[in-house]
This record gives sequence, C-alpha cells and structure tokens, in this order.
Amino acid sequence: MQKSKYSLVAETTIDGQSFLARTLVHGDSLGKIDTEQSEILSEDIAALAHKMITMKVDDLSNQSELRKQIETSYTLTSLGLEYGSKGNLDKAVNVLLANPIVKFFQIGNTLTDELLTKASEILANAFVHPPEHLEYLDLDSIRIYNHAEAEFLNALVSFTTTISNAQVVITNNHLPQSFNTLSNLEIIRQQLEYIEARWKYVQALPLDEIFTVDPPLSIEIDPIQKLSLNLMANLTLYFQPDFQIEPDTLDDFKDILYDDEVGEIRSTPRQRLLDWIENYLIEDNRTEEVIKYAVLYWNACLESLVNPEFNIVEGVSNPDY
Amino acid sequence: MSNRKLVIPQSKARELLSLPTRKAEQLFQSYDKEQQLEIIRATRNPKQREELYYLVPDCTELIQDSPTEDVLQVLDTLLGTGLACGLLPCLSNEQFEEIMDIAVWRDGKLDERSLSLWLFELSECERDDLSRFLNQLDLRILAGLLRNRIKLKGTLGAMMLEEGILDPNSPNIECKDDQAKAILNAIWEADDTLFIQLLREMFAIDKEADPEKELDMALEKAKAERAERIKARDLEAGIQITEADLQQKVDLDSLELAEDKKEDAEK
Repeated sequence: MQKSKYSLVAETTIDGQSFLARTLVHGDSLGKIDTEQSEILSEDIAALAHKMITMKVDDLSNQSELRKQIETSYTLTSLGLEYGSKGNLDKAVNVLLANPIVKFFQIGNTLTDELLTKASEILANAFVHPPEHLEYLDLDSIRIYNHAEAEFLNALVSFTTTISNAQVVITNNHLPQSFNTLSNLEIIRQQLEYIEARWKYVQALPLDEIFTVDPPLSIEIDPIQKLSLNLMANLTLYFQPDFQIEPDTLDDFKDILYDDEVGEIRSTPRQRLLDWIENYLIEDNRTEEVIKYAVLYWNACLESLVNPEFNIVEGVSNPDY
Repeated sequence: MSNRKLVIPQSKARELLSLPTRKAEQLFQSYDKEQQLEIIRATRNPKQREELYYLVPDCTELIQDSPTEDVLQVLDTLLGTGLACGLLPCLSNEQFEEIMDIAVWRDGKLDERSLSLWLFELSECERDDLSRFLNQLDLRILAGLLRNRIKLKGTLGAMMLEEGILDPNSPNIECKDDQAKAILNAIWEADDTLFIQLLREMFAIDKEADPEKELDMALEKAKAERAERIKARDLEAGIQITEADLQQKVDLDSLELAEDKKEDAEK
C-alpha cells in the first residue's frame, strides 16, 4: 500500500511573516540551516499538520477545515519557537536544530490553550441572569459582551483574531487573521481580561434593578453600555443610583455633560462620575483591576455618548495589522 | 527501451477530466497502473479523484494501492448519502481498519456521530461486504456506540441471549431510536453470530463485574490498541509524532530547551 506522510498537506507553504519562517531564513543566512535541513524541518512540520488533520477533522474532504488545521499547526509551532527563544532569532536557530519540532508545537499549544479556554468560558457564561425571585417575569439574561466582542471570541476558538489592539470596548473588527506572534497573544490576553473585568463590574451592580428596567435592557444593542449610561445620567441629574430613565433624560444628561463651545466633556461632572464608580467598587471590595477597568469603561461610555465614533485603545498594539 | 508513455500527472488529470467519459476511459486505461496512480495522486480535489477511479471497470486495485487518507477523503464526500457503498467494497480489510482508526475517533475519543454515519453507510452495502467489514470492526466500539440506545428487557432476555436465540425483533430488545434499530438489523442480517457476540459484549454476559464498568474498561482497551496500531503505521511511514504528543502540555515555568552548540564548539 502506498504511504504518503503529507497527502493531506499538499502544496502548503509556510507564512513568510511568521517567526518560524524568519528563523529559517536567519538560519540560512548564518549558514546553519542549509536547503536539505530546511526541507527536513518543513517535512517535520507537514507531518505534524498531517497528524493534526487526521486527529481533528471529521470530514477530510472539507478543504477549508484542512487549511485551518495546517495553519494552526504552523501558528502554534511558530509561537512555541518564539516563546522558547524569547524572540531571539540566533537562539531560535539553535533551539530549532536541537529539539524535535513537536516540542515547539506543545509550547504554542500550552500558551494558547489557556486563552482559548478563557474565551470559550466567557462566550458561554458571560451573562447576568435574572434573580430567582424575578423568574416569574420570564426575563432574558443580559450578555456582557457586545456583537463585535462576540465575533472576537468566536474567532479565537478558530485560532484567529479580529483585533490589532486591546480595546476597552471592541467597536471595530477586522477580518479574522491568524495570531502568529507573542505580541498578538498579549493583546488577546489583555482583551479577555477587559471583558472579564466588565463581567465582574456588572456583577457588583444591584441586579434586581437592572432586570426591572422598562424597556428591558436585554433588547439593547449593547445593554451594558446602556445600563451604565442610564446609571450615570440618573446620578448626574437626580443624584440617584437608578437604571430606569425617562425619554429625555439622556439628552438632558448630554447637555450638562458636554461643553459645546469647547467641544469636549466638562471635567467636573466627568470626574464626579468616575469617582463615584471607583468608590462604589472599592466599597464592594472589588479588585484593583476591576476598579481600574470600570473607570476606563465609564469614561469610554461617556465619550461614546457625545462621540459615537470614539473608542479608547489601551495596551500594546500590533503594527502588522 | 521502455514503452512507458511520458505522463505529466497534473496536466493529464486535467485532460482526462475534460474529455467525454468514453474517451477518458480509453486514454486512462492506456496507462499502466503506476501511471494511473500518479495521475490520481496528483489530483487533490477528492471529487475529481473519485471520477478518475471510475475510469477503469474495476477500481479495487487502484483504491487499495492509494494512500488511505486519500481514499478516506473521497469517501468523506459521499458519507451520509448512501452512495459510498459503490467504493467501500473495494477497500482491503487492512485499509478499512485504518480508515476506522481515523474516521470514528476525534481527539483520541470515540466520535459516536461519525461512527453512526459510517454504520449507516455500511448498512447500505451488500450483506457479504457488510459482514466482512463488521468482522474488521472492534466489537467493543460498536458496543460503546449502542450501549445507551439499546436495552435488554427482563431475565428472559438475558437467558435468551445466553442461549444465543435473540434477534433484533425480539420483544426483549428495546431500541431507543430508529437508527439503533436499523444498525442492529443490519448486523443481524449480515452475521447473526456477530450480533449475539455484540449483545454479549454490551450486556457483559459471562462477566461478573458491572456491565457499565466492563464496557468502559473494554473501550479503554480498544482505545489503547488503536493508538498502538496508529503508532506502528506512522512509524512505518516515517512519522514519529503521536496523537499523545500533540495533546501534551508543557510546564512553561520550567521550560528547558536543548541548544545546538555545534558551530560554537567548532570555534
């Protein structure tokens, strides 16, 4: 019987921008990785991808599934090599030649597994549910993440990302792309922490009142932003921590908040609100990360009220995108 | 001097697929088997590869000499339609076992959905072929698939099974779904001895331990045996990475990687 290691990985090339590809080129320029050695390494990676396919894909005729597994194999191997060499190309050449290729895959797999597990958990569980005593009202749960964030979380499960920066609230996605560098992973880690912090911030709010708002918050495009702005508007206009607003309340709030002449938010009402949420969460014994995030989040909500295009970009960004 | 025609597989495949069937058959059959296999292997689209197999009156040899994963790719395009039974009888026993080791396991675990799909496809085959394949299938896996879907009722049922006089239509057998019933029927029609063996495996007749535990242990054993078979096949093909390797995690805090110091030492 004919055997072929790579029959399912035919005509695949390594992404030239990946750390793995750059290591091969660097090794060549140092004279440490010759053509024959480069071919052996490529064959080893192809064999790894082949094993991944037979292990993971339930329909081998699905070409896009095959491509996805091949890309994942390369991506994880490249990430593992970057991590194992601390991003140093000289060291990368040395460790690549001295260790089996599967070792780097295992490192990459370990690095991403934690993030992907967290992403899956957020996707499945990041909701606030109506309290038991309101069950008779048959209310819908409220999702913590918005539509763009749902796309981001779903993309992660396929080893791709839709963001190039960590954002307090994701408002714009790009097309899913492989995350093939450690800096991509860092951006993803920070983004997941932001969404988790938002989840904890919402859990600190009086949930009974959230579920008695009319019309229900669950029908809003971004319910968490809406409930946060409602709370801020009531605090500013009526000094009451309430989530229910009247039809004109947000416009009145905007009038107080926004200085038309200067074209920006007045610092005093803004600071008063940010101090309020900070103190509220301190009293509720929330962690420093949650408090810091909630303040950033409230600021982002205020900015989006006066400028819908606004979005705070935080943390490292990736210039490749 | 050899009479072998010079063939460029990719372009020849394209030409064959563009010709009317009769002309394509004549041309394809004018090549020797090795050339035919080269043309098939060079065709990466599984639907087109399937068309090429049909250009000879009996494609058994071509199928059996093709890489198993390539054949499985073709069969996957037909799975669930009942049409795979045209190609399935061409598989050798060894090939069928290899295909089952890939197709009905996912991430090292038994994939019951795939197994059900395959059993449906197999049940469309002639009874002789089905019997041959069933004898290649690990009974423990079949038992694992059906265990929560089939119930043996009462002491009488157990006694009848012990005597080997049960059939799928017996009132002592209760199937929870139509597919389970169809699978049992197909197995019984193809091989009644195997049918009784399967039920004995499922309900741990002749064994003292709890049937659930017995079956779990049997499935674990089947899993280990499958891993060994795959490892042996892969080693033969020069692949040293195992499924266990791909699932293994590392301790990132105590990571130690060897470094190639060849050149440094030379200096």
